[in-house]
Amino acid sequence: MGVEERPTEASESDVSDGGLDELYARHIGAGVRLAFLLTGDRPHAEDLAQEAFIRCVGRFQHLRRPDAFEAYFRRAIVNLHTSGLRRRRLEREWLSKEGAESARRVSSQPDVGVREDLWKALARLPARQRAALVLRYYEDLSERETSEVLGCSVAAVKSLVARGGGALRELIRGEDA
Amino acid sequence: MNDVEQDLRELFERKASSVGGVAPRLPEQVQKRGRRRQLGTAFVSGLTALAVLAGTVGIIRAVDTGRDRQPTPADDPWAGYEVFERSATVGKFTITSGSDWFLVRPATDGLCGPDEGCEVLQLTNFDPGLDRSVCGEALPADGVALIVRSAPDLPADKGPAWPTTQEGPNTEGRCGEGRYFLFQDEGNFAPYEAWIARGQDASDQAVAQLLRSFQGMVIESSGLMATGDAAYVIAGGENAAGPWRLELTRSTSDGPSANVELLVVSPEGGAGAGDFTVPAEPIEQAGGDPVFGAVTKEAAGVEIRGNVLLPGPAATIVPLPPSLPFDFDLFFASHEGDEPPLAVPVDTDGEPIGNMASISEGNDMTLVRHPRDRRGDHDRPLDGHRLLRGLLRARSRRRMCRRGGAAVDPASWGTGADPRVLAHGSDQAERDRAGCR
Repeated sequence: MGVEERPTEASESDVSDGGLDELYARHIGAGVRLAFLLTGDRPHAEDLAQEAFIRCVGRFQHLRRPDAFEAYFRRAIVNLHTSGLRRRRLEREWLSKEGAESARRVSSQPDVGVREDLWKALARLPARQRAALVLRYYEDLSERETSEVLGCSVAAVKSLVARGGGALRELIRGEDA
Repeated sequence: MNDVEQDLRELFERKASSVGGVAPRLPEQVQKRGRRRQLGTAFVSGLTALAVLAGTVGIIRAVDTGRDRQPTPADDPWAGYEVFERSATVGKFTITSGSDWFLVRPATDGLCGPDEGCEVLQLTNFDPGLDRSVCGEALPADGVALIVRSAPDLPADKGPAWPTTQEGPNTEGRCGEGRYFLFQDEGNFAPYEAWIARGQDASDQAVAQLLRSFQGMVIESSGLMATGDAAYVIAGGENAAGPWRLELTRSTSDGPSANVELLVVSPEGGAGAGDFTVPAEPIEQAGGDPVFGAVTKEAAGVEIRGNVLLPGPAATIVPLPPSLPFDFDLFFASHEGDEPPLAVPVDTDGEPIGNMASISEGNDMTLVRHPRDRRGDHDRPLDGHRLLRGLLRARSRRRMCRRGGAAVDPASWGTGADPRVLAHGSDQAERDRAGCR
């Protein structure tokens, strides 16, 4: 996943005794980065990645494919993000109202300063549209793989990506105007 | 979309890079929660596995239990009937078995030849019919059979005194292959022989049941005579005169209504009834203690009542064996009261079935005494129907309204004529007139 460090495949022995530490070290970095792109918030991203890690580790012995920890971990992060937002309706409403403030907070994160408008616009997208864009253009997942992570059809992924892209374009135009 | 896609790719790369390094060390809290979750998952998985295991064991046991039970084939005459333990005296032997086994008192003139002896009883788990003994016959594959015969041809000192625990070796004998037991009615110097045989697919359980019946036999000091054509023994019991058994045979009459005969054999002799008109009539009864007879298959039960409308103890219903395929059931019950018993066929609600006049008339038991006759004429036999006419009227109307039956004029009960229908429950106008809601 992600950029420079692609974790090697985990095995069942990873979680025996000291294996948990190694599994965490191998996957947590990529997990936090994915969570950050989904949430736009670093502390929240770390919480999200750790929670997803705990859930995956809890079921690790019972995963159908223990060597596919990375895929399960990614899916857990995305699901926690989207379902967490669904559960916390009040929080979502607050985020929606405070979108500009949230975007400002995000912009305070260290980056090279380009495409700030796109980042702000991304923060205003619905969670699943944003997740679809991240999975497709950051994780480089195919539409089928993205649909598996999001738990929807390929057509729905196409729709999410198209609507997300369109919304970004509109938002950027609006800000430019 | 290409422009946005390219921008997004660059943006995501830069933002992801901006996250910087993440401490690779597993936080203690995460480690603890991870371990707890693993334990929790293992615990739940264990419980689930146990539940699945318990369920599987339960299902297997249920299936096994089902296998252990005697199969109930479609032609099993006892399917849907309550099987009871039947203990009956035949000749000098009292034998106990399930009522769904066929106990036959073989045909005999009461004189046993010096060479062959007499068959005293025959017990099988299949209907052997009444025409001939199963001795020497091939048994059904799942059949088991017991025959006890007197054996005057055997030396009086042959075999141990009854009861005996002898093994009965498997051998070839006068009835074919099987286990032969020789024993004595001690004191009477009367030798007997028993033959137990099984079909090739007979279950061990059936054999064990038969052996239990055989080894539980009791030799009575004075038994019940066993003569005449072969008969099924469908029940046995005791009354004030001693033991009795109820025999069932094919009717010997030639008329179109010929069917079966029932005979109670007791130390005082025999009394019976036959060529029943059931199901044209719902029930026909005979006897006193025991009371017995034939009843329509439509009846859910038979109650022995003092009055047609008042509940009484239930009689036992017995299906006819397959070799006597007539369209009715048999019933019997002990009856110790002074008043003559009135056997009433009832439906599942305990309501009498059919024309009550025929129930009572057919049995010549229409008159019942009622201690609370308002005229105080206690010595005058009262018509139970007339006495409860008011109750009848209300019940008749209720039956009509609720079930769509007919409301019958109570005055027509007990007259011997067909009951007079006042209103039909299927006719809405008549329902309205009767005040059905």
